[in-house]
Formats: sequence, structure tokens, C-alpha cells
Amino acid sequence: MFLAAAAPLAAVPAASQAETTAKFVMHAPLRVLDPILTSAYVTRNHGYLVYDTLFSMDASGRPQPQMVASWTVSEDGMNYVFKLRPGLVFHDGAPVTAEDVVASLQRWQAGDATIGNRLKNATAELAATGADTFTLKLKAPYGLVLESLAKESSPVPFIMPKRIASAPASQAISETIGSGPYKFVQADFQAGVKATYIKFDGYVPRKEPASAFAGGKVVTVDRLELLNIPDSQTAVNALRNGEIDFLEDVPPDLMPQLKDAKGIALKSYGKNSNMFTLRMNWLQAPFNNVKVRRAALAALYEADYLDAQIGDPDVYQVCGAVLTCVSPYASEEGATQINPPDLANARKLLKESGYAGEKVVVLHPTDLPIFANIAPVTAQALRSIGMNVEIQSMDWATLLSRRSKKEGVDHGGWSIFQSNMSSLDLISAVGNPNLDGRADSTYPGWTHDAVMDELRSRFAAARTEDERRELAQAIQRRNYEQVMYVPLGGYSKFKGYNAKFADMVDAPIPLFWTSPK
Amino acid sequence: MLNLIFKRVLAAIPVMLVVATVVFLLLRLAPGDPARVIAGDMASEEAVAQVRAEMGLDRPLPTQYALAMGALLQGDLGSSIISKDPVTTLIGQRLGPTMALAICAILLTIFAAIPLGVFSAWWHKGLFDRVTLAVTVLAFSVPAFVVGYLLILAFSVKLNWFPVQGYAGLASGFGTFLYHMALPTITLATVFVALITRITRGSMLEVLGEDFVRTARAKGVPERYVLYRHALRNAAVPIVTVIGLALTTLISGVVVTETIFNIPGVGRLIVDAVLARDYPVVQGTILFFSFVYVFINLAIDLLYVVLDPRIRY
Amino acid sequence: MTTTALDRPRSFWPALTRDPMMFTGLALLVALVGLAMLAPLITWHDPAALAPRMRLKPVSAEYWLGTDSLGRDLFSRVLYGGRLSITLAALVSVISVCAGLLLGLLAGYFRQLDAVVMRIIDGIMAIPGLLLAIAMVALGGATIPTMVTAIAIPEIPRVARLVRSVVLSVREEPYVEASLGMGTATWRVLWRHVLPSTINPLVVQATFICASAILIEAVLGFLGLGFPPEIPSLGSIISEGRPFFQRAPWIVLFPGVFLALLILSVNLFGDALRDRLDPRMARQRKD
Repeated sequence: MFLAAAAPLAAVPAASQAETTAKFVMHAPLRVLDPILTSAYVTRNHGYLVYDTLFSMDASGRPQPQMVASWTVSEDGMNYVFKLRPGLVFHDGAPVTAEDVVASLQRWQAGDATIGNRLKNATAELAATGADTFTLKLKAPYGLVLESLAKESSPVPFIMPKRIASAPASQAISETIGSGPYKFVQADFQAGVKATYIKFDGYVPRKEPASAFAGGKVVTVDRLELLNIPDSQTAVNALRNGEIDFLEDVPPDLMPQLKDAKGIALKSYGKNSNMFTLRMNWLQAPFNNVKVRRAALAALYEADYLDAQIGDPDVYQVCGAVLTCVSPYASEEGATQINPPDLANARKLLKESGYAGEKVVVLHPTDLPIFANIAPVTAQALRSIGMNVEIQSMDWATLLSRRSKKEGVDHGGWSIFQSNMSSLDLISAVGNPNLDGRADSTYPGWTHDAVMDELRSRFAAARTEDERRELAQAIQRRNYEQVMYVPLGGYSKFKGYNAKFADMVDAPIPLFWTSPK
Repeated sequence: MLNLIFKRVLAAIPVMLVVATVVFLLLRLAPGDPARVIAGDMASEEAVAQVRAEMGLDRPLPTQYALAMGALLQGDLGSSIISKDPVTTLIGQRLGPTMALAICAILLTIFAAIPLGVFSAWWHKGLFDRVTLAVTVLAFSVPAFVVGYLLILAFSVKLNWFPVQGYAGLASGFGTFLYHMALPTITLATVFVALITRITRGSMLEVLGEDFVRTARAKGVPERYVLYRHALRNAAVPIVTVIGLALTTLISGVVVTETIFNIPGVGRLIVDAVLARDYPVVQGTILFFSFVYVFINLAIDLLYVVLDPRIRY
Repeated sequence: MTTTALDRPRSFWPALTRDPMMFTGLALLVALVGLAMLAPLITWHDPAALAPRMRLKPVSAEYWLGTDSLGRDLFSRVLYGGRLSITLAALVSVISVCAGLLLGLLAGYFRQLDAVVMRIIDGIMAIPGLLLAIAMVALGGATIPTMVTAIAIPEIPRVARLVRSVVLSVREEPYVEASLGMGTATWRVLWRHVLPSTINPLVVQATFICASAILIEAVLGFLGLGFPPEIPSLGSIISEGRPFFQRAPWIVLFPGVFLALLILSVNLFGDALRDRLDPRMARQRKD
């Protein structure tokens, strides 16, 4: 009955002729709009649409000015003076002033536990000196000022109006007003369902060509609609049928369905855009013992993880570099997991370590297909050398909560968790949360290592490339000696999109603007 | 009559209280921490603690209960921990698609199941009857999600007659609305159609065997008349009862259907809220559905008086 | 002990061979349950053993139903999953029938408790069963005790109501009144006069609860709220197979078919059982 009636009436809803609309789907639903309050990738992606930054990273990883027109650095490298570009306005019409910048940076620093925090500790004074000028005075030489301001991973130092940025970093912002190329339509927002962005005519793009996050941002789409489609097969089908125009993360298993689809382009974000990581709990047995950690490391094999989760060798990369294989300082030193494991040796190491059969709890998220197959591989590998492993499955929400518990496994604690992180978060020797060796480090795992902490501080203060290279190598070695975290391999994340949007800038994350002509 | 209505309404209140208490108790004992979800993967412990305090999750249990009950009486179902919107607003935003889906399913059920049931009963033990019985049992047994995926595979992917997902409101045009609604409606209605067909058949069989029908036939009343005026009218009571009681099945079905077809309705709202440990939304939506159920059954109770003059309390 | 003609079950075997539906249902049920319960003897692959390089393989001599995305043998997973579903359904049935029986007896027999118990029952019935189960599993975690409780609780009200109505009608019978008048203890009255009348409807109800439990467990697994993936369960196997539905449809279809057949056979059997044991109920609504 319905079939007969619907078929002749079947008409895809048409947008008004003059206005171009694009529908896009990200890897997770957008619920929280505050990109400082949460470091969730989906909120960061949203942030790039509505906000702008002082500096941005270009395709070669160098910070380029974005909102800043020019800046000067004093001889001793301790005083920075910045001048903003003319004509920068917020979506509500107010001009962007240095006071807004200072307030935004302060909020960002409060909410960013690694890079932002370090910059704050190195800063003697950050102040607005005019309507469009502000200064940064350091306490000690710090080589990463511009890199910090150009930080592309969450939380990103987005610039907001002062009245909004005055909210503490732990309290959600009340409005979404920025100075970015898109305006957010608050009335259309349904958390977890959809969001709408319209082109902001008041945005003045830079003249340079777009290069990753940097350069001019020219918007060619009038209206951008973000939809949430939780099932990846459904999303892929929707892309093929033209129901959506852009899919952020195409699962490798489904890529063959899009390869020959007419009018659909499939493109990688770059080699090694993401990496799987494994973290052990240093506070509780058995992994509070470095010998047990080393034995466990000896049992792991990257190919198993990558085959199980990605499947297609063209899409994944075996990589043991703690700073990712796209880092200029990439190295495989110490990464035994890139080769088939010597299980006999691993068992020997385990016996010698004094492991007494303590229970190892591996946390496993059930609702994120992007790394649903990782934990079982870990469990099987560790069991094969004689460890007593229990997988505890839970949804990601509960996992994040469990992860923060420092107690032993019999009191609701954990031993191992795995993650899928963007290389953007791992590539910085200073920003990579896994390499945090401070006594009060907060990233679960609580890896306390004074040597690593010192290496990172020295890295931050280094002025020459050679110095940095040497320190990066030392960091790599130290990570594997102490087993702070284990990279389980990288892969290239792929995006699928309607070919008519092919001119959107190429970047490690979804960005929806094009280069100036 | 008014007395009757008043008594019925009064009886519904303790039911709602029980529902509210059950729901409240359940959700307060959950593991998982919404504060952490909002703060994201790499947030500091202090940030999470502040988020938790801000959202009132650290008050003692009895205090939380008293506040919740008080709010409920004022029609306040709480606010989402994550988006800060009042639950009533969220439900309001999502109600359209769910109601559209439910109404389409009910209409399909009525227009398909009742005739099927009537004719099965009419041609009792005939081929039509046997086939219907077999198909209905099958329809009960195949889970909705299998049905849904099979329909998508056949009609969206292979034949391209319908979209694989999504929802279009009536505002986009009746054609577009049906285009998106077709497969979800069939998926949702399958079990319901099977159920109502059987009930109708059973009820009709019972009535057709009754004395007054035999009398009518003996009097020479035309079959058609017997069927509609006498039989169906009396069979209506149990049918309507079942529709009311089976509403809970419909609601459960809505959750699965909305998940498969990515319809932004209240069913999906509740699944998302559970996964995100968004206490107030889960609580509010369950309360909302339960309230709807109680209300509709109340209406059905009162409808009896119209349908069956034998019933008088 | 007196029973009416309606209560006495008609003899089983002749009925069985005469009714094709019942026979089919029972045969299918026995076959599926047999296969599932004998899983450890029939299958030779460990259902939890990963083989990343053998993932997403179709039906073959080595893997009778193909493999899933981790290279695990689908045949053993489906059978073990069926075993879990059946065990779970049986537990849920037993628990909800016992609990419902108790509540129904209390409500039906003791007037003072009736109002209170019935209000609570009505309250629980007003909450859609799936939503209640979802909420309970989400809070309690997906362990066998929690799942059994979460699925059983929504079924209890119907059983209780059924028992209560039987109790109410039996209580009016003259022989019961006589018994009470003679000073027989309450529990004896319940045991000898009331309980037997509840058995037949309860058995029928139990089979339908089984079917319902199997389905709800599958739905929970499908929504991602069921047992952890290490434990093969039909619902979660299907859910894991969703992203691969067009690439490797067997991961969804085989457990789906098994599930459908299992529920179907229980329903067929239950239908026929109801017609035999409780003709009075045959005309009432099916839950």
C-alpha cells in the first residue's frame, strides 16, 4: 500500500536554488559546544567552524599567523608583542579586541593541562596594550610560544568575546559566538542530533592560500548541516545515495563500497593520521613493576591489532614511534611490538619479574566501532604468556569514569586501557599526554618519571633543531625503557564526500573552507 | 459518570508515583559518571569534580529524591546534564518524529490487521486463516531489527525506492514524508499487525459463536450487517484493550526502529541518554512514556462505556 | 482435590501428532535447543579465539558459518549464543513465574495487601518493559544476574495479575469457603485448592515469557547494552555485524535466522500448549 503510493511521489527535498547546503556526519555526536571544557574531537571540529585562532599550523607543521597581522620578539626571546589584523569581527558584530584575546587565552590555559599549562608557567605577564595589540612577557626562554598559540589539537586556543571567555574553564560557556568563517545557529541545535552553521559574511579571509589549518579561509557553502548517524553502514549508504555530502570517518571495511561509487570521492587525511595506544596503570599491581610492563610489551604484536581493527594493509601502518611516524623525529627504537613477538622470551621475562598471577583488568569500550576490536587482542596476547587477564566491557562513558579510579582492580580499578588518538595529540613531545612524567600528572596511567619530565622540559626550552632531535630520541628510548605507553600502530583515516566539494582544504581533521582564488 | 471519571483519574495518581519512585531509585544507583563524559578524554580531575558539583550530582540521596518529586509535581522533568535543556524541551523537540511514526504504525495496523483478523475469523480454518496464522507467528518471532535491515537491504540499497535513513516532517511535503516513513512504519508495525490480527480473529471467533449472532442470522439479517453491526462492535472491546496494553510494545519497538533508521525521536533520545549517563533525560523520558500509557489506558477505560453498554461500574 | 474438566490437561501424545503446528514447534525447539546446549561437543573452534588474519571470511569447510570481524568462528559463537539465550530465558521464566506467583497469591488472597501490591504492579506495568530493562542493565552492568533481573521484572506484573485473577475466582468457590470455615490453615488452602488452578496458565505464560526474554536480550545486545562481546550472545553478534552488513551479511543473518527460529518454535509450542492446557485462555488476549 505504501510502496505503491510512495514510489511516484518519491522526491528528495530540494534546497532553495540560490543557497548551497552541505550535510556532513562526524565520527561522534556533537553534544557539548564548549571546546575548552571538553577535549572531545567532535567539539574541536565544531570549534574550527565558528572560531578563529591567533596562529595556525600549516601543512608542514609550522605556525603561521592567522588573526595576528604582525609580531615582534625581543633579542633575548623573552618579550613578544602582537598586533591583530584589521577588520576582525565577532558574529554579533562586535570587533575583536586584544582584551578578548587575553581573556580567551587565559581560559584556554586554565583548561589545557599540557601545552597551555606550560605556557602559563613560563609566562610572567600576558596583557592587552591597545585595542589591537597585546604582549607576552616570559619568565624564562621558552621556544614554543608560537607553536602553543597555533596548537591544533584539543583544547585549541580559540578566541571568544571577553564576556563569554570570562567563565571559568570548568563551567560551560553560555553562547557560541566566535569570529570564525561560520556562524552557529543556536535555534537549530539539537544535542546529539543536528547542528546548523551558516556562512558568516563578516569574515575577512587572509590572502595566502590555505594550507592545513593556516592561510585564507574562503567559505563556498551557504549552509552547513551537521547530522548524527550512529551506524557506519547506514552513514555510508546515505553518502552513496546522496542523502549526505560528507562523512568524516569511513571504516576501512566499508571503503570498497565507496571506491566505485559515482560522484563520491574517498580521501585519506594523511598517512598515520591516527594511532592506537595502550596505557598501563602504574599505581597498581602488576604494572607498578617495570619488569612486568616490559614482559607485557614483549608479548604484543602490532600486526594483530591492525589486522583485527583495520584489516587492509594499505590503510594501516606498523609504527612504533612514540611521537608518531609523521613526526620529523620519528624513530622505531625500542619498539619490539612492530615485530612478531618472541613469546618464549616474554614468558621468561614475566617469570623473572616476579609476577604472581595478579589479575589484569583490560577496559573495553563497546559502543565505539573505531576501536572495538583492540582490547580482545590485548587479552589474548597477555594470556598467551601466562597473565591472568579479565576483559571488562562497558560503554565509553563508563570507561572514562573507570579510567580515573586509582584503586586496585578489586575496588573498581583497572590495569590496561587502549585508545584511538589523533596523531595531532601525539606528535608533540611536550603535548603528548602519554609522555607526561610529572608527579601530579592527571592522564590516567599516572606515569611518574622524573627523567622523562626533565627531557620534556629541556625539549620545550631547546632552541635548535639538533637539540630537539636528540631529545626526541632520548624520549623515545625512555618511553620503551619504562613502558609509559605502547603505540599499537597507526592508520590513515579516510573521509568520504560528494565530489562537488573536492576543493575543501586538505587537513588532518575536517575543515570546511577553501583556498582563496 | 463524572464520579467514574474522577475515580479513574484518582487511581492513576499512585501509579504515577510508583513509576516515579522506581525510576528515581534505579538511576541513582548507576555506575558511570556523566561529569567525566562531558569533560572529555583528557580533562583534569579537578575540572571533572567542578562539573559534577555544578550539576548537583554530589548531594545526598534523600535530598535528591525530595527535590525530584517536588519538581515533578510542578511538571518539571529536570534538565539534561549535558546540554542543559529542560527534558520537556528535549522531548518536545523529538516528539514529532516519534508521534508520526507511532501514528503511521497504528494506522497501518488498523487498516491491515483488523480486516485480516475479521476475514480469518470469517473463513475460520480455511486457507486464508491458516496462512494468516502462520504468517503472524512468523511476524512475532523475527526481531524488528532483522526485519528492518532486510527491508533496507531490499528496498533501499538494492532497489533504491526508499532512503536508508532519516526523517522528513510533514512540513517538507506529504510525499517526502511518506518516502522517509515507509520502511520504518512497516518495521515497527510488523509485530503489532501480527498481534492485532490474532486478537481480532480470536475476538471475532468468540463473538461469532455467540447466541445473538445466531439469532441475527436466523432472523435473516444479511451477513455483512451481522459482521459489522453485531460482531465487530462487540469484538471491539478486547481489541481496544489490547491496543492500549500493547502500547508498551509499541514504545519498545519505536526505540529499535528509530535506532535502525536514524530517526531523531524520543526513542533514540532515551538510548543516547542512557549511553551518556544523562540521568534526568532517562528519568524524564521514562516518566513521559509511562504517563502517556496511563493516560491512554484511562481514555480507553472510559471509551468502554461507549462501546459496550453492558459495562457499568 | 477437585478439578473441573477445563483444568485437566488432555493427554499429550495423541494431541501432539494430530496438531502439525505444535509438532513443528516442538520438533524445531528440540532441535535448536539440542544444537545449542550441545555446543561444546559439536563445535571445534573456541568461540572467543581471535584470528585477525581470518576475519570476515564467508562459509567454508573450516568455518561452517564463516568468521566475524575478529576472525572468530561464527558457527560456535551462534551455538554458544543460543545456549546463553536459552539458559537466560529459562532463568527469567522461572524467576518471573515464581515472583509473579507469590505476588499474585498475596494480592488475590489477602485483601489488605491487594490494593498496595496491585498499585505497585500497575506502576511497573506502566513502564515500557524494554525501557525498564535498558535502564536496569545500564545501571547494573551487563552481568548474568543483572540481565536476568532486568528482563524478569517487567514480566512479573502480568504473571501476578494472571495468578491474582485465578485466585480471586477460586476463592469464591464453595469448597474453598467450606475449607476455611472448617478452620484449615491458609497455606494449606493455598497449596491444595488455589495453586493447582494456577499451574496450567502459568506454564503457558512461562513459554511466552521465554520467547519474550530471548527477544529482549537480543534487542539489548543489538542496542549495545547487553552482554560484553567476549560472551557470545545472539544480540551482540548481530550488533557487531551491523557495520559489516553489506560486506559480510552472514554475521547478521545467521544469528538472526537462528534467533527467529528459536523464538518462532517457542511461540508455536506455546500457542499449541495454550490450546491444549487452557482453552479458557485461548480466547483471551495474548501478551
